Amino acid sequence: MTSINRELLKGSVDLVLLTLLKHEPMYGYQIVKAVKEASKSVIVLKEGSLYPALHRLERNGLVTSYWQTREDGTNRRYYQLTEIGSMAVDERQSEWQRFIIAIEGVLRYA
Amino acid sequence: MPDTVFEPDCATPFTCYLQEIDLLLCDLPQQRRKEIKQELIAHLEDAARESQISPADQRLQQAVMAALGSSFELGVALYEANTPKILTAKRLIDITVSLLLLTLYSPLLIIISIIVKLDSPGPILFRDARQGKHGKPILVYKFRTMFPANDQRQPLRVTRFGRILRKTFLDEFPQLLNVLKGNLSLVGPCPLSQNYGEIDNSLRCRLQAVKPGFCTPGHVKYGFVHVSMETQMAEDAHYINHQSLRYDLSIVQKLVTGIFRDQRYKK
Repeated sequence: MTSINRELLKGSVDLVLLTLLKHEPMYGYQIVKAVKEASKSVIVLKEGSLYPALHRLERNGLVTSYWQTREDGTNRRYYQLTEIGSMAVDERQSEWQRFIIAIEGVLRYA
Repeated sequence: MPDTVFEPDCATPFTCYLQEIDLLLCDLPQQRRKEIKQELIAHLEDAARESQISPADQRLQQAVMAALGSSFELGVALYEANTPKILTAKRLIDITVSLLLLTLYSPLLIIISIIVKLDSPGPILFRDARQGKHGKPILVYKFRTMFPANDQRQPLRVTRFGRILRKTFLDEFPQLLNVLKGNLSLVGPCPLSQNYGEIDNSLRCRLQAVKPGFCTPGHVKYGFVHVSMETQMAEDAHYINHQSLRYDLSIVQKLVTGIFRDQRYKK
């Protein structure tokens, strides 16, 4: 499977992260795996951009993080949506839908 | 003994990698730096668990580092994602002192500007392209001391007045504008020139972790005589590894007393 152009991916990283975190709090490596699985390996998150993206969302108040010990005794930093974050997901998802429809319209025209 | 610039002390490639990233995060609170470090260690542990090898395995560490990106790139990205827009104590001092000095010396600076303009054709300020914090391009201001490069009639490139300016270090004074603007600090490592050749990530993390300075640690040790970039870098590396406001103060103090007494400062 060929992967997606990096530039195209860049604008959608936040949306991907927020959507995943809507279901449950997750930690970094878990997010990488989940994205890969959900997108059937089409989207492979560049791991180097994952943590800066999460930290930026945290700084902007869309997610918060907390450390939690897993069953195996190791600590992981979990990220979860804040109230503003959950509102933002819905907003961004509908924005994305509008975008897709618009792009498809243009592609059909051509 | 100056700290070695080229061989960081670390047990495994990954600890070395974490140290380099941590250097770039030196402005952030301790707690934040610790959390970032732990998070990246957890990432390595998860990768190890998935492939069922020990996290100490060097090939695994290399693979994880390749996936995370170079220490310089990741460190700068993490720094930017974690920097709140607040004034640090150092920045506050930079602004206050540069404003104070610029105001105090403004009559002198105006007179110099007029003489530079009258003494030879060309602009008053010379803008030197350098690399700022995290390698961002910056223009460092100095009073022009040479004839413009396209002036063929002047084989001796330094102007008459330029020679005096250089001797008295007054040509460096406009760098206070850079300090005020925020792309230089009063004290910091020497800014690399823009066309400084290939530089590896580990060295970059070490040298470009903080804003370059108007007064540099190299000035204290070698005065204003020209020394090689490598010699300069060793002083800078020591500065970055031990930086504090007290260290900054000692540099300023040594420079101020040195300029009046020491032969090394005679250009």
